[in-house]
Amino acid sequence: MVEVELRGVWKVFGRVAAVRDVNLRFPDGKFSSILGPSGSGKSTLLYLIAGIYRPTRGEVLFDGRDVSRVPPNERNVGLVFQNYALYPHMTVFDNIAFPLRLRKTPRGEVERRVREVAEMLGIGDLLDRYPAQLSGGQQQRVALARALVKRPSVLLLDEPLSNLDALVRLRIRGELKRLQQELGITAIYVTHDQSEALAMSDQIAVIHRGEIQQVGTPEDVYEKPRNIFVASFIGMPPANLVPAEVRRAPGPCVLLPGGGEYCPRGGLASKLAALGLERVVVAFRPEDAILAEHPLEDYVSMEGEVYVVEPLGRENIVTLSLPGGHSVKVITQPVVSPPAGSRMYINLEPSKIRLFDPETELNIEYLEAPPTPQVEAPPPRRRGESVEEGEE
Amino acid sequence: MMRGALSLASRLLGRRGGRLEEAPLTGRGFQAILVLALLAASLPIILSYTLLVELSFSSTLIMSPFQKTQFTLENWRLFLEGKLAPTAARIYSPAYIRSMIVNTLIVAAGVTVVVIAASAPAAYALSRLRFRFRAATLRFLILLHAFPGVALIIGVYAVYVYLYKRLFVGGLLPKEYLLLYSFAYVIVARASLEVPMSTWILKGFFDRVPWEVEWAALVDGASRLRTFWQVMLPLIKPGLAAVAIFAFMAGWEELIYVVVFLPREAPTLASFIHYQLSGGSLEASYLPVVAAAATVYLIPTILFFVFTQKLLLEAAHGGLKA
Repeated sequence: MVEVELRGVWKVFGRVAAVRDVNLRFPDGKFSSILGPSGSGKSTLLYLIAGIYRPTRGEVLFDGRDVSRVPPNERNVGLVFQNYALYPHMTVFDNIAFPLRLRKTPRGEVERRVREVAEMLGIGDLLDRYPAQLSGGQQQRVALARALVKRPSVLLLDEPLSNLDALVRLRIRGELKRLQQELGITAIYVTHDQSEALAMSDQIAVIHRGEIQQVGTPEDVYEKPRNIFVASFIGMPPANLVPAEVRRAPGPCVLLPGGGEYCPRGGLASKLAALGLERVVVAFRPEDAILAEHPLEDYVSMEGEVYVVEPLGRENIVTLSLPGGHSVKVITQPVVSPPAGSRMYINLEPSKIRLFDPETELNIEYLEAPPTPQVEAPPPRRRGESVEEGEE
Repeated sequence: MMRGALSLASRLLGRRGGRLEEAPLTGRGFQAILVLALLAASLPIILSYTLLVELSFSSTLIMSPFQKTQFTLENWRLFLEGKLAPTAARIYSPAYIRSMIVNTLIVAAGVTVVVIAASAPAAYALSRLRFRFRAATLRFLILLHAFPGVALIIGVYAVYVYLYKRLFVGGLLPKEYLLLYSFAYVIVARASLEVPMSTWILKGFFDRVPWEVEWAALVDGASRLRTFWQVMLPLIKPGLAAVAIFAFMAGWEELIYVVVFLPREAPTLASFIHYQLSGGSLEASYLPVVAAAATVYLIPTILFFVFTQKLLLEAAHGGLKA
């Protein structure tokens, strides 16, 4: 097993930078995810690790050894593609045996290891079939077996679950995590599905427009989003974003639309005061708000008008519109179902409120306190920068 | 074309969507008309081929489609024995007839091998690699294909003579190799006319193989060459088969290059039939026997249609789903 590290990695296709200055470390034996929307450069990042792409700039390191110029067939990585990329003209056995035969493994050992990995993945009775005769879930296991049979030093997974139907996906998700733990293998998992990333990972790297937005444990990424993108990308539904004004005196307080007032305390208050912001973006998670007919004590409350209620069985999602036209979503108990048009209070526990600088889009908690309020900001968003993942 | 007409028809009848299943009556009616029209248009060709095959099994010379005749294998016996007329005015040895068929096979198989060997790697490169003038090369291939082989023959002949002088007059090779040289030259020259289109067709097949399959092989530890050989080539088998068949037919049917570059002593079926029907030999040849030769000449075409319908359909659908 190895630790994979990216140092200042860029990948430029023509005039488009798919990956910009990425510095990342994937710990040995851990399950890491690269999470981002489509076109964010996450697959490109994976192919850079696999060696299919060469970095335009920067280094890819396996256990501290620079492998940037090492071709994929000498890196000993296992890679599972989104479309499985099985060899359609070979049986399942031959598919799995292919990497071993390329290494001139003796016949008996090929046979033994293929059967072993096939048994482990529950496809031992499918070895004589062809990929076209298998279901999606079975093809997925064959692809996984082919990646694992050579005992790779790192297992790379490119959205391996996204072509499966929902039930199979849930089952394989659990199996995959269990398998990784049993084998103790370094796994890097690319996905656009935040629930997969949250459920499976030891570490999540959120990527957007080719740049890493945040690296952390699932809890970090979920509870303390570093910027507005992470807050709005993670969560189902994602965090609510509401612009608000800041009143400077006596202490800095945030004036929310719908009448609420949030006066942070401690470090956050001093940061807010020192930054001298006039406006902030307030973010809170739909499940952190409590819907009630009146303001609750010790909570920050906003008054809104119910727009629609979506019952989901286990819970309801209530959409409310705030003065100023912003809409927010709140998750409630299934019994809470106010009629559309009624006025309700959204009550927030102060500790659940996150504040972002509307200019840099960064979480104010993460900002350095003055005297140096200048913080490295993500570059301004430009149109037409999304990147097609694909051929070089 | 046909589907367009069908959907137009169904739309005229007020049926939305224009799918075949939704307008079964109109669809079938149109199909019947189209089939009839196609039959009528191809009638002259069907008729002449039928006559040709019939003639080879006929006891007399057939002059019209309505003439009564007796079935016989006599013409075939005469042909295989090399007797081109019942009066035995022109006699070839049975060995000569056999060698003629073998010559034809050599040219056809040779063309097939050269075409595949040249166009598969070229198509792979054009499909997968990015290099300068790639687009220009692709356009140039189409232009090359449009060139008639006959127009090239002067240049091809000049190269033939130049190489001949270098190899044999210069004394690099003994004269015994002349026949070998001629065969090789015919094969390569004829194959090179097929290569542009074959490359184009195979490129289309390579294009449809997902990149991921190739990447998977590379990650699994295969070299580029092995990936090409063990993964990419098997995946474009339908394309290879189609191209091979076209190349084989082209070599089998080739007349002009064979007549120009192969010596008279090494005829192929095409040049033999051509010789029997042209110049002074027409009166001396008994046409039913020549018809037997021509029917042998037709055999690959007939086999082609019997065995490749399914394959070509598969080829039309890409033949690959990973």
